[in-house]
Amino acid sequence: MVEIKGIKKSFGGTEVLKGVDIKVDQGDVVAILGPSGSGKTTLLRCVNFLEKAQAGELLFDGRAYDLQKITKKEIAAIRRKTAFVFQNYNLFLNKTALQNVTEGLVVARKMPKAQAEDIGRRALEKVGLSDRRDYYPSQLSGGQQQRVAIARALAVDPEIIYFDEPTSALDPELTGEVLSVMRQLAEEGMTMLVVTHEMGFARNVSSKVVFMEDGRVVEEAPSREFFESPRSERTKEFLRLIQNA
Amino acid sequence: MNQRLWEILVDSFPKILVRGFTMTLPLTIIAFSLAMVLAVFMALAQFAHVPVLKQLCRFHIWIFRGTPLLLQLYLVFYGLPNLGIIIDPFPAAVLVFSLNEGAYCAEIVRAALEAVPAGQLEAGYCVGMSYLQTMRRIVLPQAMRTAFPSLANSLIAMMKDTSLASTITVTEILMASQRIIARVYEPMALYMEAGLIYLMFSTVLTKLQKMGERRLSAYTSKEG
Repeated sequence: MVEIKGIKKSFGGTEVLKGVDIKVDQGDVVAILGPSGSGKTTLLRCVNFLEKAQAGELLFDGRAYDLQKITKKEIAAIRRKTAFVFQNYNLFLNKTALQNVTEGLVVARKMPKAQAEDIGRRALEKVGLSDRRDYYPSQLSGGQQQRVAIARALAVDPEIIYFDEPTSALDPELTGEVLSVMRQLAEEGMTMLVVTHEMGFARNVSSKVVFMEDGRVVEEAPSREFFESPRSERTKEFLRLIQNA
Repeated sequence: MNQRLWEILVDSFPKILVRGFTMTLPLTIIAFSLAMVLAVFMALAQFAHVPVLKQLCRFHIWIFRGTPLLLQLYLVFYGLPNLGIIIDPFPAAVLVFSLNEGAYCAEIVRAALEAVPAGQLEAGYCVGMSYLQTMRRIVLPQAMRTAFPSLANSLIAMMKDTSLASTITVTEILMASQRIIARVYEPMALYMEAGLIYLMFSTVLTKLQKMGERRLSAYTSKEG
């Protein structure tokens, strides 16, 4: 479905990604774990072209794209089939919850407003926010904002949703509501690539774990195998540290 | 206050006021509208780093903020005829006020654009919108909300500055009162009266600003 090969990215003289390969199959929920500064977020941003990678290849929908030579048109086409959930939600501040969800449909996909609102209402219902549809982001809690962001992602009927630490900006008591929505999506077969620090999610919801450190993939394994019988020493150490925390 | 002075004031009030409505107000509204178009255009060109255009905008702002408004009026009205360009007083005033005000407002709008979180543009991209679509529907409306109080402030300041147009023979409020003063020689009373009329106009504009801010505040309020 989505495959990234040999992605490289530097900021100034600092090499943040040193050749990363990741494969996500249809219906996969892949969790990317790793310490801060390992390049997880940069990877996700490169995959959705929010950052320009210096090298690498993207296989999407059976087509290969050179990340350096990809055109604006190709980027726009790929983005219309993907969705992105940000750490700090990035809801459109001047739009209501429902408008946030319909904006991409009406403006980018030229869908009639009535049809878009219908989809928008269903997406908000799915994340349990039907009663908040006319609220502005400033009137919603962090957890509610992130659920609207997930509804916005769902509405465009994406082939994959990228999540960039979706619960990191939330109070502990609010992460649960976001995680349960994500779990529900996973159960429905949504393909997801999730950068996260939530070990519970990685262990119980994701199908595969990619462990990154220092711009490289250290270990990649099915979730259960990753947590129960990690191969690399570094992974074992990481798991030991988080379990003691 | 003696009877004669009172009669002069009562007699002149509508005469000055009508100049406010036929000159000061149209000059303010037309010039400020043009200034806003110019300001948004110049702010966007700078925000998007459009080559050449950006430098032209910086140059325009440098010139119009760096020289006196009065001098700009003189140059256009008294100077340009030397080059064979003759512009009537009112259009000359509109031209100078819109170019001058556009330069100041462009900076207000540019600062407001830069204050919109970068994530708003990224979120637009991620739902499939183009740069222009996201600017038009998400970033610019937010920036205009931020800029609104400062822009309204500039509008009020400009309304008062239109009194400078009297120096290029536009018969606005100040000019109208000066003409009456020349006849009756009561500068104190008539300048006070002109001031009162300016105050009336700016009070209305301030009220409109308050109303506008309240209407725009929907998405920044914390109540449901």
